[in-house]
Amino acid sequence: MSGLRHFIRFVLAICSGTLAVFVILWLSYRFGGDPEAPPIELRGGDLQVVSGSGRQTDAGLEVSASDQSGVVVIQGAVRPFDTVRYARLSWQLDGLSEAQELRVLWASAASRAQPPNRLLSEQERKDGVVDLTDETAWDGRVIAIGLVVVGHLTEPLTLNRLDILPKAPTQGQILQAIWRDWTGDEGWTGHSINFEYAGPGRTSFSPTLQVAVWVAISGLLYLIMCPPWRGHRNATPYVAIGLLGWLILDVGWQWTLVQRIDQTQRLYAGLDMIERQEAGPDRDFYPFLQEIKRHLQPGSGRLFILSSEPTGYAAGRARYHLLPVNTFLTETIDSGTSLHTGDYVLTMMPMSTVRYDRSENVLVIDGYRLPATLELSNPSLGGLFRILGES
Amino acid sequence: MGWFGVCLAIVLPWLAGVVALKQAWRGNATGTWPLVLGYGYLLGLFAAALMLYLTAPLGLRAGAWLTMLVFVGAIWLGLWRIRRSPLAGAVRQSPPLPRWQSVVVVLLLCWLAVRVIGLALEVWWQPLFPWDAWTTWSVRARLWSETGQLLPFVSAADWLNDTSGQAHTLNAWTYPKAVSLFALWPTLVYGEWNETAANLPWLGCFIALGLGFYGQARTWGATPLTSTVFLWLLLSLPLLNAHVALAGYADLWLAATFGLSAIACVQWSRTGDRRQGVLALVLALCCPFIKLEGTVWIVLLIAALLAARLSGRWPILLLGAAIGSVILVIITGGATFMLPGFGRFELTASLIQVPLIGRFELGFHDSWRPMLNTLFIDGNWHLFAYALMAASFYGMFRVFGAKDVGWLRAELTLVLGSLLMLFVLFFFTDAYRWAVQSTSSARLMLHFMPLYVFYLLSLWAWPRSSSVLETRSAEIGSNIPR
Repeated sequence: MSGLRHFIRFVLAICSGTLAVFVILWLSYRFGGDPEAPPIELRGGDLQVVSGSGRQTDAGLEVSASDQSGVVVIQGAVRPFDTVRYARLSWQLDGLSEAQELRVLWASAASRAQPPNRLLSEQERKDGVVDLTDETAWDGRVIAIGLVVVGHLTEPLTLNRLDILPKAPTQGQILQAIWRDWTGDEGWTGHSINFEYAGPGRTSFSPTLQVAVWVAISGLLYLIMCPPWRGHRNATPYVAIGLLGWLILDVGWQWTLVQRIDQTQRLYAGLDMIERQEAGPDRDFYPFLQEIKRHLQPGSGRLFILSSEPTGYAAGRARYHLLPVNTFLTETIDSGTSLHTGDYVLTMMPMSTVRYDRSENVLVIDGYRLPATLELSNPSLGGLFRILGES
Repeated sequence: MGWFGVCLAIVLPWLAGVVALKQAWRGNATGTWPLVLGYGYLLGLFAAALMLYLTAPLGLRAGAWLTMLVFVGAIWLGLWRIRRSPLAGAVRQSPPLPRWQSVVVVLLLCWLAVRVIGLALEVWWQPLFPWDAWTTWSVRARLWSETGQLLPFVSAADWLNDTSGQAHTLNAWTYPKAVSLFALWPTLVYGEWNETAANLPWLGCFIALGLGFYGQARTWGATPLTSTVFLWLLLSLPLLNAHVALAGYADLWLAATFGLSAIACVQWSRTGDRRQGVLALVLALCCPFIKLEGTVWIVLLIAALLAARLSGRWPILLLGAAIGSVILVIITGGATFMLPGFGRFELTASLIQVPLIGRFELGFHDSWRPMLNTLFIDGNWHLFAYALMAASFYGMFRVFGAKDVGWLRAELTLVLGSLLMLFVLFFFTDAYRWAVQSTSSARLMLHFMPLYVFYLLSLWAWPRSSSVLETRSAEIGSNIPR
């Protein structure tokens, strides 16, 4: 009976812990916002006076005069955003008098010619916040937004900030965000060998953190229900909670691995080594590199791979695919490089410092002239040159 | 020889290592077979790499065939010796498992099997993926495989002046060769460069790590259920899995080699079993040939050795003396000296230079946020960092006042020493950039994960003092020839 009681308390603890974590997540997304739709904060140089005259100061954008028709228009430089995610505007504007009108103005892809605007009420001016959810013209993708002050200025206006705030997420959106935390996956990326995280990017509530909080709360609840000072000294329930948490994360990780294996299979299963390269991320330049490799005779001279980013991806992959050719990655070639007759130079586009003079068979690298013949070329990828003279 | 050759390239060194170890572990004591299988793989691959290196003047392909023959000979000789001296001695009988524990063990092993199969499929299908693999480790392997010669890699300056055309160059030309030789070895027997063949040893390393860990856990005295649970905790670490799926980096090898060496060191400090001591020593000596930092991690093993052997106030006095010496050196202007064959060592208030490792400027950098992300937020270790934090405090609490815990002192030295080293590296040197960019911090921690998991296991499966005598009796009995 005692064992059953402990088991019931154990189940109660983990169920209550689950509920508690869910409430924490719900509150976090409800009031903390969706990490996929962070507030758009406009400060300093993000704000410009479009009508009127003003300047940047330490306190913000100071508008000293309106235009001839008594209007000041301040625009915020924003990347286009969707009204589905964002609907509130917040600002801090000093120097506005009661006689002046304050409006919010925005332009969407659909309303470019006639940007809609909304007169702000006294309460909205006072609070410095407006909710445009119910505005019928607040629709689609907004490409520009700003404030309009109508009425001659009696004193300078100072706009300290202009923020575009996300809508409070709905229940469904919160559940979707929590689901995305657990199931979103970018696949194998360049950072996978250095660190791993589930979900769409580094979310503030990663699954690891969620489960850690769950373990802590469930453990604490069990501790309260079965305190050690009343003789409940068995560590097993706490270990079981920890292992359950680990299992939850491991099931999530296994699901991630299954998705990645599926992607790998679709890309590469059944292909030989060459076909994999032709199907993979190097497919655009791999055939050209194979052509170069076939062109270079065994035991031929050294190959200098000239690239604006010698430590970058393209240069490194070129060197790898051209093995066993003896290569050297470099950003430039000059008299100190000690090129020999018979050496090759592979220029990787784009290289603004390199040009080839066909009439004189001279390769010019940042002003340095090398007698060379053009062996192979691809207009978008680069060219292979054979050096004719010692440098 | 194609894929049959690749199978031979994996199996022959493995068998040779197993047979060699079985001569030392004659009995059928609990944990013997997984231990021997796990450690045998690592020792066999290192032997293969060494043989390739030594026979390189003959040409790599000839050297590979010679190496295969040597392995066949070693296996035959080892089996002959084992048959001549039949296995004898006490067999530690494990009590039968309760049914529910058997079910959990089977389920966990099935879950791990699914994991291994998934990772195997990635290794089988995925072309060479991670950055350092196709810029460094596999570049050398591929060059050597395609030319059949162990061509040297030199600095850029030396390459430009080289007239032979034989030398090649890499940014990381000073990196040790072992990992490139591991990738090279199966491709020599395959007959040509093949990325999948080159990456298969990584899968073997993962499996060997699991076997070695499980064997050591059972040898420690943990029950099958406990051993399997901790095996699951180790082999399910996401970053460890990623290093198998995206094979080609050296970190998995250093994690397995250093980890199994450290575990053997802990076993030796508990039981005095010389076989464990030899295993720890041999694998420790392999670490510098995997990555440069392997040379530094060996210092931890030496410190663990001292902590295990010295009791009372001696460990603390020694630690105090070491820290005091460093502070004294710094406040008196620093120290510089040459290590013959290695290079210059320098320590001042503003920089530290360690031969073969690198030169680091000293100064505090606030790396808390990226480090906390790496440990507690990202999905690298599931909940392990939380468990390790709690276990570190618990271990420190238990070491005071407990008797016969030289093994715990050794473990705490390894665990806390490694954490301290990483702390100094990421907070007090310009390597803080690796933490901020998250490029190396988690990978360096990976090297210690097998040790950390074993540490947790040892706290959970706290050995009874009498188990030391039991272990020794069983070993003495099993070594008596008949």
